[in-house]
Amino acid sequence: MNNKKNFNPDKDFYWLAFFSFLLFVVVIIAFYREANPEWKKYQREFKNYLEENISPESASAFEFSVKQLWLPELNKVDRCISCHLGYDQPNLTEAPEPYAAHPDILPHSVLKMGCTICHGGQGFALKKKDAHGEVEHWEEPMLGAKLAKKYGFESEKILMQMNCNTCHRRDEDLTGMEMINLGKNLLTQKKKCQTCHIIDGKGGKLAADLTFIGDKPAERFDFSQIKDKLIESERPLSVLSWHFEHFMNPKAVVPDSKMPYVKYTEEEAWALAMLMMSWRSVSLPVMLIPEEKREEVPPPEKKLEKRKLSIVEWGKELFESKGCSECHTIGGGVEVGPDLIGITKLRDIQWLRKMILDPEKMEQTDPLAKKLYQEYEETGMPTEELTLQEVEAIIKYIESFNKESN
Amino acid sequence: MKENERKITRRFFFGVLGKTSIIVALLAEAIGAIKAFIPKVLYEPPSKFKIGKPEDIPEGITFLPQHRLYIFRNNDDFHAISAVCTHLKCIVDWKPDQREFYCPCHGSIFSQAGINLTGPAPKPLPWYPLSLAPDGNLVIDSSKQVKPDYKYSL
Repeated sequence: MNNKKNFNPDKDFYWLAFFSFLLFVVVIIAFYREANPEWKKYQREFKNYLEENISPESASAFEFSVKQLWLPELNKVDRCISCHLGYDQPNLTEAPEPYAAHPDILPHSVLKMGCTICHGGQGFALKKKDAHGEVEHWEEPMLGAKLAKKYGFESEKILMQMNCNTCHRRDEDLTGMEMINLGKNLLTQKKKCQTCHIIDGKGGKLAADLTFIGDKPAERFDFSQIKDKLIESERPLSVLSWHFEHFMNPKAVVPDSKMPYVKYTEEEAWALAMLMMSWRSVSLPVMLIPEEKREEVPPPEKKLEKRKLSIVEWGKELFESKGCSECHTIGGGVEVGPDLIGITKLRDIQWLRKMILDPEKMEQTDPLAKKLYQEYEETGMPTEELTLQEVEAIIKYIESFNKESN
Repeated sequence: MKENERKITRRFFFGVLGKTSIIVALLAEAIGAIKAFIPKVLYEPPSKFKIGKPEDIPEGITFLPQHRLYIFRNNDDFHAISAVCTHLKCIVDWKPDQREFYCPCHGSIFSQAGINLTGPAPKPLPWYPLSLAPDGNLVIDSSKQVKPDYKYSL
């Protein structure tokens, strides 16, 4: 009833006209935007470039379309080439970006590997900002000059080394991976990491397994201690920054960290941080593995054959595999921990058994163990899960050196 | 004149504007909805692909298993024929002695030019056009077909 009263044919006519015209305009805008996506702008420009600089035939052969590298084996679709159009045309080495040819990267192949496997970014996106990964919640930004500058690196491609090493983690001293090589050298020279950390299935169990640390998502890192510092120095709040700060001073990032402080230079800390980021799980399709290397991958998981060992030989194997040799020598001098030569004569055998079995408990309760803990710069001995037989074997192995020296 | 002028009242003008724009807008939306069913790009191998440099392709007939086609080379002339039988999409074998394509599934036989001679195959094997990419690779466009006298000369 009210409606009837309120109905005003003069006014409502204008409203109908207004809203339907508005709808019309919105639809026109939508159609225009649909017909003129960002990539088409680049393709038009590219076509003009071909016409002016190369040949009219090549320009007329060019078709507007979404272009992609479809790589089912890698589970990737890289549409970067919808704008980076000259990537496979060697006559365009001089062309301006994004139309320049991709430099020669043999034995790698852009056609077989795509773009994002090395460069990062969001392969299936079709807008520049999305594709370059400069959007929230896309965790693999493009590892180019822009990002390198944010971290204060001068070299434009330095961050790409992380992606190189994701596949090349078992290769040493590759050219172009200088930072990673430095990190790997630090790892093998100082060798202390595996006292506490497992890397590639080997090492102590005191701290996190680092084998695939690069896959650990950002939300599982605690940034509370370094957030202000990073914001102040205008460095990105990223896992890479976290690793860098953590290598520079572990306790400043994780206050109750047990990781010993090592005085690294900034370059060394960056190298190690980049190495950490590169350790990601990747399943490489066979076609990307050079023929001479195919046998090695996947790494053969040889189960330790049950050989008949003497107890001393068994002890030697345990001494090396359980990480004792990372810190202790037998007759080779003091390293991180004391030299163990003659230890079986020096100490009570029961004390020794307890010390090998559960050193962390001993360091808290036993006065002698406490004293040793102080003496060796508060670097604790990690507890390994050992059986009593294994402890006995290790002691027999250490004992065997006494006889030799006699 | 005056009669005509009076006919186009404000109300009439806005009425026509409103009705035409809503009809055009709804039509355009319908077209957009239909267009949404046609994908711009698919998760599948491209219909245009590189098969290698011409100098690497041996003289005579070569089977390219990855692309399921036969490439013919006669000095500097090339042409490409699909190896997929037009009956039930088995891969046909080239029999050099008979100079024929033979389908192992149901015995269809095609001539060297891909013409279906006997068996259940209803159509000849399609021929694909070739071109040369700027990096020197031969390119086959399997979305297009050419007549069986096609030749690509370097």
